[in-house]
Amino acid sequence: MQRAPSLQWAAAARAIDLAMGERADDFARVSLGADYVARARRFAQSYAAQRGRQALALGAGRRAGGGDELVGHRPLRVGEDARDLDWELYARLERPFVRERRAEAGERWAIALDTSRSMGVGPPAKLQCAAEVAGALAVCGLRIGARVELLAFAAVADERVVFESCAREVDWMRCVRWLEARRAQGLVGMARLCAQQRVLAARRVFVVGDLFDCEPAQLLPLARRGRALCALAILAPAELTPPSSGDVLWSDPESDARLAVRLDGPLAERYRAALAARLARWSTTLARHGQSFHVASSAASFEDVVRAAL
Amino acid sequence: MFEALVFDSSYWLWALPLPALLAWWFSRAIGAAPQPTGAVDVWRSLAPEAPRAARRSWRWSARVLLTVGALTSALLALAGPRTTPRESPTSWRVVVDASPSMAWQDGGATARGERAIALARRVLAGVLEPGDDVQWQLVSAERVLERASEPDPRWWGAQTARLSLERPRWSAFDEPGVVWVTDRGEELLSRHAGVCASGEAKSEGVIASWPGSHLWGSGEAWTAQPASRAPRVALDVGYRSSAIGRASVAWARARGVDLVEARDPAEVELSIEFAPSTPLARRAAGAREGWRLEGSAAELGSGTPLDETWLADVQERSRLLVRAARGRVECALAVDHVIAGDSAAFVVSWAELLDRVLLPVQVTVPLDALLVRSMPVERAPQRPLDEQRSASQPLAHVFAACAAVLALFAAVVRR
Repeated sequence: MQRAPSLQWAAAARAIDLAMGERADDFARVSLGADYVARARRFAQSYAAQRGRQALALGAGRRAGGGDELVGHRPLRVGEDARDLDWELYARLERPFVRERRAEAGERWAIALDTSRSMGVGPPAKLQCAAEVAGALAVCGLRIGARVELLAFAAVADERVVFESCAREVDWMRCVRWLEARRAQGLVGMARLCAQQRVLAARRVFVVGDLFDCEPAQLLPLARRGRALCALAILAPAELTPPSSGDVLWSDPESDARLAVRLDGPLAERYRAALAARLARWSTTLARHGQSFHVASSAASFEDVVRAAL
Repeated sequence: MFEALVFDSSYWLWALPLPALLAWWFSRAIGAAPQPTGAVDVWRSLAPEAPRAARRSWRWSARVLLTVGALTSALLALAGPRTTPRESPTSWRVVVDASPSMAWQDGGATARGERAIALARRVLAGVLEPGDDVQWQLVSAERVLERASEPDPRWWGAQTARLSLERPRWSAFDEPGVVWVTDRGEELLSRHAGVCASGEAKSEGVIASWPGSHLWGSGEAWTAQPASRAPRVALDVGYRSSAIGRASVAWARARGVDLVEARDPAEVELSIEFAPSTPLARRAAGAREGWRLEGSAAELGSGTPLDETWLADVQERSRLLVRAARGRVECALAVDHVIAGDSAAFVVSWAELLDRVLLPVQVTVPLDALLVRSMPVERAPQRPLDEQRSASQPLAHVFAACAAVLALFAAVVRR
């Protein structure tokens, strides 16, 4: 990344800031209280019930062989591979549905959580929303019998991966405590986390983060037949809709790159368009490979985000 | 009222620019307040960097300001601040000893009194501050005889010494803002007043005197010597035929005193003065010891602290008829006054009065003034406001507490 000349002073000032005692507590942290736990459990219960109704309504129970169990149908997504399209259901309902398959009991879910410094941007901090989403995804997976593994990078510049594995819903609180221990202080990109063997071994992968530090092509190794990939881009409200006037010094929390910008209406509009194009590129690339991509604001409720992802 | 702020260790104040320098360093222009975002690359692809002039000049961090405030308070605390009371101008009093030994010269050219006055001036020069004033007072016992803004050389001259006045009762003048001026100061213990003493040397002089002779003492031997001249008594010729005049003439003849016309009091040992007759003179009569003086009498003018009332009107006690002091007798009765009753007793009374108030021809001093030796003494007086000065409040603990509180806030504030 090319640095502007003034950033030399910015880097020096940053060093002095750190010398003055910028503490680890300055990094965004996660708080998952009793209210969240109750809401997540209720959501998981609702999700499991809905899956069961769908399976009964759409004739689930036919085994597809190959070790895959047909567990139901879901609407066809734009750009998705049509080989799983259920033509009989289409003829009956005149709406496209694809067969949803599940491996035998013990399917592995991997939820990769982005804990880089940019996840501390807010308010509300993206890491808080991402952790709530990851926790809800975990309890939903555990409710339907999957084995869930949460993964993240350990510390500031450490590529060591920390994870928490659960196979029973009663162990879900361990996932909650693991999530609460995360801090937005990492400097390593999500692409490296998604290249971990634990992620590659999962049948269903959720990538939860802002996805600013990677490109869609870097996650395509996850998008192979037999593995479902869902990328969730959690962005801060200020990133989705920046102010349209005034002077601002944008600062990258990870690279400390800074850019002084004089905002106005047209520039803000161009930003929104550029961001939308970037997000559309994600959506199109993943959909072309039969995978899903969703964008959410860190101010949104985790139920809405997880509902869209599942 | 406490107004001034002074610093006991003011050199610490030289470091005060340091917190300001730190505040400037940590708050200098970098740009507008940084806002974190993960989309810097997106912005960079859209907009060039804003010109430096468009950026906000300074960013002030609460942590920087609190730290600078704590440093400044700490430096002020190290400088030892203290409030001082505002002092109003001081009125100094210098009490000058009126006793005869102050006129003594101890074989030198300057009298003890003059040397003591010089010491007092030096002491005052060390304590006087702008706006202060000084009053010099000639004191005998507890009586203030004269007041002046500058000491009168007559105070330690022969004229005053011949009056044989007492030493001041020093304990009555022991206050802050007072300086004692005397010749013997070693034995004086003052709590508040300053002491300026010329010191004494053994010498010789007249220790007693009467008309025609005196007693000369040198410490080991005492010698009766003839006086250099007879005492002079000033009595106007026109009054010598009155009853008082005739009694005075008889006394003078008996004592060997020369009667002269009225002249400068410095040249005579006694002045017998009569108040000038006026149309306002009224009949008056005074009586004592079996006799009575009657006649028309004028009003005597204001007297001095040394005066005593010898004869007052029997009807109106406040109306003085004869007033006396050492070296002076004043009569309010006109020349036509008469004696009634025991005239012989009047002559005896009158002679006793004149004996008592007649000054010696030469200055006489008490015997101990010739025998005692003492060193000069110079002690500065206490200022009247010194109690308030000692109550000036130190403020270092206040500034130190401020520094601690600001540092605590700086430690917990995030930005």
